[in-house]
Amino acid sequence: MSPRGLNPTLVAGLAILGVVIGAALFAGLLAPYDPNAIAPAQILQPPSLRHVAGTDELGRDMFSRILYGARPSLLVAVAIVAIAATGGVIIGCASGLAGGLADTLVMRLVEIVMALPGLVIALALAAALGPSLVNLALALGVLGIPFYARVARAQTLSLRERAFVRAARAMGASRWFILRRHIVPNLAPTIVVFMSLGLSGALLGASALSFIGLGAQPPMAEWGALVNASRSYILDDWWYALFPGAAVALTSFGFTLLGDGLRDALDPKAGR
Amino acid sequence: MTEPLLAVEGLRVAFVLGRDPLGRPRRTLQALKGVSLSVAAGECVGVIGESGSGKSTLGACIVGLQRPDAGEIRLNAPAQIVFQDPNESLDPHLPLWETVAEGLEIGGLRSRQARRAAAAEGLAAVGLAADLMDRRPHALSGGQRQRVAIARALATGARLIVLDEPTSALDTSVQAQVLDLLLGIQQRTGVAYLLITHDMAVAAHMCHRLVVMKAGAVIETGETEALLANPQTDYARSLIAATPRLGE
Amino acid sequence: MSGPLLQLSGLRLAIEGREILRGVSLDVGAGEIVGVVGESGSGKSLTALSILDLAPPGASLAGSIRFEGRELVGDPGAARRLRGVAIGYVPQEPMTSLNPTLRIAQQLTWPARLVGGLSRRDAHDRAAETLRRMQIDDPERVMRAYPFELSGGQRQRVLIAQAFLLQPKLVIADEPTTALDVTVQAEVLALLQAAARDEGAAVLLITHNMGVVWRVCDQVCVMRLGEVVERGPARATLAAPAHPYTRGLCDALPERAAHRSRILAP
Repeated sequence: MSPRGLNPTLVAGLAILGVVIGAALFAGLLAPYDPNAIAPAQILQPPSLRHVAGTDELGRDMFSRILYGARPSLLVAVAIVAIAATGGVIIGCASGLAGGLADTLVMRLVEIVMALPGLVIALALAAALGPSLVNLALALGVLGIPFYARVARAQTLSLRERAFVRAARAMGASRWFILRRHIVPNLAPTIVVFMSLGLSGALLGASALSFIGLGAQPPMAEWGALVNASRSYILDDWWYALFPGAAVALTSFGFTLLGDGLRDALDPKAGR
Repeated sequence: MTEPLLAVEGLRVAFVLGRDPLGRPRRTLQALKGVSLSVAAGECVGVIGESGSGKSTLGACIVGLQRPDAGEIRLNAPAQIVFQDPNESLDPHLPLWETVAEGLEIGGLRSRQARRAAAAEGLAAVGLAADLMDRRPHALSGGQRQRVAIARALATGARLIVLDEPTSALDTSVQAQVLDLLLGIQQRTGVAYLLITHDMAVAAHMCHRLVVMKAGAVIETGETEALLANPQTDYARSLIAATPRLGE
Repeated sequence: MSGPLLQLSGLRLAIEGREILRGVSLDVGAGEIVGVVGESGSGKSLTALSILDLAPPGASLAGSIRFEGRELVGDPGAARRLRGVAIGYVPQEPMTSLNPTLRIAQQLTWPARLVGGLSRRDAHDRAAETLRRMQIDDPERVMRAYPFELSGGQRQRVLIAQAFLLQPKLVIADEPTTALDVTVQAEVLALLQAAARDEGAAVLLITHNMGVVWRVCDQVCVMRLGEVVERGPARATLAAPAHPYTRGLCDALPERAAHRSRILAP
């Protein structure tokens, strides 16, 4: 990336996410304990030098569980956004380039999906398919498609009237060529920004569904599931809910900063 | 007489402005109401008109960007188009060589090396240094961008180029350079131009023949000098009188 | 009153340390039409905006702008009080310079009441009367209209009417005809000329079109890269330019290009 791309917001976002991703990758090296090792003598210990984030009701080290929990939490968020953006861009571009009746029908369908209450549907889908992280990612991913489809379609409609696309059409370019050469590259910066902002929402959504028990299943240390497990102890053992909750909040903040930073960095009008 | 490079006969285009809830056209605008004209090889024909005259729609039809409702377009050679706005005419993400050689790629030329070589040649033909090849449009001035757009049209082997207000967005001194470039290219290669413009002075300088359009119809045609000296219609007369020129 | 109506001397403008105007001097006499010509980047528009104290934020101004002998540089309040009253302004873009959500009547009468201190009735009559002088046949209908219901030429007439509404001594017109068709452009220019003559107002006309200067201006001032390279009586200057840049600009005009390469019919 060119030097102009490195604005403070972007750097802060990258720094936070660097720490979180580092934790996910090197959890095995960084974690002081086995995240699933039960220690009956150590149940619900407050933070101390031995357990910096305390322990849970089975005596498992919370710091280790949060480090290991970064993996499924991040993977689910990335999977949701990847499904939503890929599906949305394909549908949006195709619809925008096709135009006419096909475009109208696809967009009405997209609007119907958008009108559905997202979390409720995700809840129903996860319930119907059975609670698991994969089903959760699928459900939230599909529900995210309309948003990207609308953005992609709007951009496609304006791009295809630009003079350089008209010039390509005059030279006999196929729709596929125009899509590949002109539409997608010009669309990419916008979609990348929305994706990084969307990652924050996906992380929160996945955590919320795990919190109500529809995502990761015990003993997996997913962040939302950790917060879920802390429910019964939240009044007496504050650290149990606080640290996994803080991990979700910090990561979500990191994605938001990344998105804002990318928006400025990728704006061709900014800087030289 | 030999068949001209381009012959347009009875061209009609209507745009649908509004539709009722069942999708049937409610209001239509007749953009072209039976337009005929021809361009011979090596000729520059000016299409003069104000906004709403249909001149740009005519250009779009000739290069296949707009499907006519009726009428005939006979093209005996490949035709390309150069648009007005230098900020819009090039893809901001593509290095210039890819833009210049885009027509060759669409035509099936797969070799990157061959396309780069063609782009270097194309840039040289419009007076741009070949080392600009890997730059992107934002590094260029408006006049340079229009040169690239001209190179892109030429690289396809076009024998007719539709120039849709190619210099209207440029400064006077840059306009002069681009117009001189176009004349030089025509002299060298014999390419024909259909120059769409609202600027009588530009048309007078560039064109052998003029076609005056108003509200979707051709109202007057003639050799440039004869038409300017002795316009037959009131509209052409008012257009000529309205054009502010030095020394008049 | 002696001396010019508007006098710029050694006007400098810098934005973020970059010098845009590098000592601009020009005079506008009462009732005179002065053309400022130049290519993009010459600083002609910023010169106009500086007079109105409308230069972009962060711009620093030095030198002198005197209007009726009063110094405006360093006294932003003075320019603000003159704006719309003694100095009218015609912007370039007739399509975006009117508020799309307000009827023409509101846009014309509101400033007349606010800065001109006219009553509602007087402001309305004044607006209708000014529109009629701008050759708008049915001012009452136009005043009831929203901008989108008017053509580009009509909108530009409304904007010119707005500038002349309070009988200013100077009207600054920034490329007022660039966005218009030639026939409409000719009408609008004639209108501007007539309005200046009838009202005795001076006009500072910013343009890139030397034909326009030739047609309507008394004086011309040629700008290049923030400097005035030549000024003098319009036709005499353009007919026999003294500065090579002016000569180059004139020779670049298509109508002057007859002596350059011109191929014969095949």
